[in-house]
Amino acid sequence: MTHLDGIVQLLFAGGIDSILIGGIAAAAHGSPRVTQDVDIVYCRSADNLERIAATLAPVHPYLRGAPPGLPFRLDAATLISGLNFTLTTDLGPLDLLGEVAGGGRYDDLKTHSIEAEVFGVKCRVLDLETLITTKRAAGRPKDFEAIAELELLR
Amino acid sequence: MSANSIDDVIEVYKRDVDLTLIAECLRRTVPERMQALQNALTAIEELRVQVAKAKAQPVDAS
Repeated sequence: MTHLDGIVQLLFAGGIDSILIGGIAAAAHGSPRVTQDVDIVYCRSADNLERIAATLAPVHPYLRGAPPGLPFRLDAATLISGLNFTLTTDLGPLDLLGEVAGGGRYDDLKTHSIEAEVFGVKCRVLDLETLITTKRAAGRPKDFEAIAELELLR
Repeated sequence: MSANSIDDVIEVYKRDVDLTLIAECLRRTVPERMQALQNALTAIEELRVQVAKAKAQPVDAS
């Protein structure tokens, strides 16, 4: 079952330095599209990787789409050796992105985010202009309609 | 647009479809899918309201 609120609470109450991006950020800015996964860009600092591993462990993160039973463990070493992870968790799908096309990394995007208190926690959401920039940079046809909507939300 | 060109466009769109998300949905029962949708709508509405409030606050110039 997807619990967007639960994932957001978990991430930000856990002190993970991250920014909501993608469909959930688009919805936050007023897009009528419904998303059932959470996409974040996360800080790659060693401390933050440790926090991500510790915070997500209770919701059993696992590689989405991978066959069950693989010896996958989302720890700091795994996070260091990879960059972007598409995960399933007990609270629903979660995509961890170390870098975003057209936007860069967490440190590049932090100044282009809005801080808001949602679900009882302070979270960061990518601002509308940067969200449009990243979706344009991704160049995926499936995003074209979403980009049009976001541009009309300016 | 001819039928063929529509087919071509749809094929291009298919390249970016996240099949793992579809698989996640298919693992649920229909009532679970409806509940997940309701959960998402409720959460998104709260997120939207709070982000709109944050955007409406004056920017601290200090």
